[in-house]
Amino acid sequence: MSALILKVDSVRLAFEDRKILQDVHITCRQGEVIGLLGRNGCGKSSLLRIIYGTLNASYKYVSIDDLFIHKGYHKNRIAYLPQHSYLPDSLKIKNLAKMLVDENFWDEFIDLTIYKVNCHKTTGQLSGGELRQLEMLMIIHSKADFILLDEPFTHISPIQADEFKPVIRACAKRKGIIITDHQYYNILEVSDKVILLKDGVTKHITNNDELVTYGYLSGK
Amino acid sequence: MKRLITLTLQYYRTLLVYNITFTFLCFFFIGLSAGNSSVSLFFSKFVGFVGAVALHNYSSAKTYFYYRNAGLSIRRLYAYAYLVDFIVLLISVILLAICRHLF
Repeated sequence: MSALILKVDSVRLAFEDRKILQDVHITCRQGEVIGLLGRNGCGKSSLLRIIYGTLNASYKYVSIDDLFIHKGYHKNRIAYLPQHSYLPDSLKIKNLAKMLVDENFWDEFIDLTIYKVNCHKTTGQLSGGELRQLEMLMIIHSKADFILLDEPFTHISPIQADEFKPVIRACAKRKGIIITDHQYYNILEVSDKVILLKDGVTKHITNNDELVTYGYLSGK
Repeated sequence: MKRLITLTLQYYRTLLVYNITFTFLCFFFIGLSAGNSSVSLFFSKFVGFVGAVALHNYSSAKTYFYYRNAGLSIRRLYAYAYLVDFIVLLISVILLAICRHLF
């Protein structure tokens, strides 16, 4: 089966008179990890939510294999890890995981130590780091063809972040991933392509020095 | 289908406390002014459900990403949860009528 292609084109978003996004173009193929970098408030999370379908843009064109997608989450085409916790309280992890994790990857998922240790607990009984790990792993093992990860390395320790990177790479063999985080070194390490969001416009980065040129890194 | 039912029941469960509270409050106040009837019961149930959904939406909207990531839109979730609520009410009314008849 050929790899599916997610295209995000001509996204425009404005809050009152302030233009947030105006010339955004991203192409993500299954098997690729696209790193999305940008300063605070530049619209990274808004862009992911527009692709996912929970934020209305002034204009957008999002397609998978040239078929327009209005709501990315319909029919499990796109899954999204938001910045905040998203699992309902008072439900057991195993009951939640069964709804999100793809049956084809269920055996692989239940072999994960973090799941084995916590599967009988409710979300309220987990620490912030444990919950974040499980939430991300459920998304990564979901049915979706494309995965959007918004700050997956936030709230987890450096060692856990190092453990996640191979998991993300392994996931990318079968899915397309767009990932954003302020820990840019993790993004650079895990991504095949890097896109910088600056002044509402996407800049396709071919050399990491361009991050200094565009003022995202200080260069010191 | 089983997955859809499980997701709906999971959502319905998170609403339950709000739902019961709002329904009883509404039924109590309507009952005081209009008298207890089946119309006021069904109206109270509807208002109770809407109140519960509104409060849940206000306090726990972040959890909607769970249902969306499971492939379910929130409008569909509301509709299915209301259907469950209506069925629960019907069963309760029928059981109550049987109990009244027997005892």
